[in-house]
Amino acid sequence: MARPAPAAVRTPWWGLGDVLLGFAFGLLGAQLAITLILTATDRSVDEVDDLPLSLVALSQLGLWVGLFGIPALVTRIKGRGLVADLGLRVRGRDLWRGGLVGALLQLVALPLLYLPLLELLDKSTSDLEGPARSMTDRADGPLGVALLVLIVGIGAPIVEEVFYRGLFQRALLKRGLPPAAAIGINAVVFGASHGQLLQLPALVLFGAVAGVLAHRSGRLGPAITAHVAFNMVTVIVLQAEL
Amino acid sequence: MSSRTCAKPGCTAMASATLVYDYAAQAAWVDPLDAEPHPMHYDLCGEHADNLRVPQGWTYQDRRRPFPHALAS
Repeated sequence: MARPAPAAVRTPWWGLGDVLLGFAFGLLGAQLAITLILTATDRSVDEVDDLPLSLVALSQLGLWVGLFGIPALVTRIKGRGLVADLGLRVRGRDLWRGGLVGALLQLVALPLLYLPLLELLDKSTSDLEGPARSMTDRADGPLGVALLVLIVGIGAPIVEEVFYRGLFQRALLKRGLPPAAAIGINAVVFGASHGQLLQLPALVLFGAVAGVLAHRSGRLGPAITAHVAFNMVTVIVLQAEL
Repeated sequence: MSSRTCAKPGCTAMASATLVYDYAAQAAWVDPLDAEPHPMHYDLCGEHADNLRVPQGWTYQDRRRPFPHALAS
């Protein structure tokens, strides 16, 4: 008796072009959101850094439309969805493994990296913490802290890991790049995309470690939980003035 | 990022620390940059905060965090 033919497996055909599309939509979305917010609240461009956290959250949504919306859309149209194509899965053990890696990066690796670097550049820890502090200082009261956690402790880790370690890193691997090169390129672009020169080494280091976690596990869970822990340690330290 | 600059005359660097002093107690200390400017506190850049000297007999404390932290978001 003839065996039934195996069901055809759909090969995902998204790639680096879709990564560029995600970047473009993210930048456009962020710019559009900022412009609308400034216009609606009668503020000038110089006041962007003084926006309250609720408006920062709205501007982040513009960026996240590109960084999360495009991967969600292209993996649905050109592949099998976020879970099958990008490994958007979290297992129980990811929580402590990724969490431990993220916390150790923040508490051990960053001081080792920056104590000589800050000395060399004649900068202080406060200089490095400037961008983080400008976010955490805007969190007033329990609602502000909840919003801060929502933005940097939940939203950014999921969105950025889906885009960078999901779509971008996998698109580089699909192009035939060796894993080390794909992880390295992804980490540098991830770091540079934040536009903060002094923070670049920390972000590249984090990007590389998250890249390794995602590649070795085959899912985004460990990288997402590492990202959550990395950011939350900073939020807790700066909020509690430890 | 904060748009406050160093209070040291002639310095245009971004402030990253705040100098506070108690004249009666002859004590001065440097904290991480205050969230809001304070009329009795002095915002300083990293270099001027690092090189701060207090009058003889005064106590001085650098209360900035020794270990740096960053956000990936």
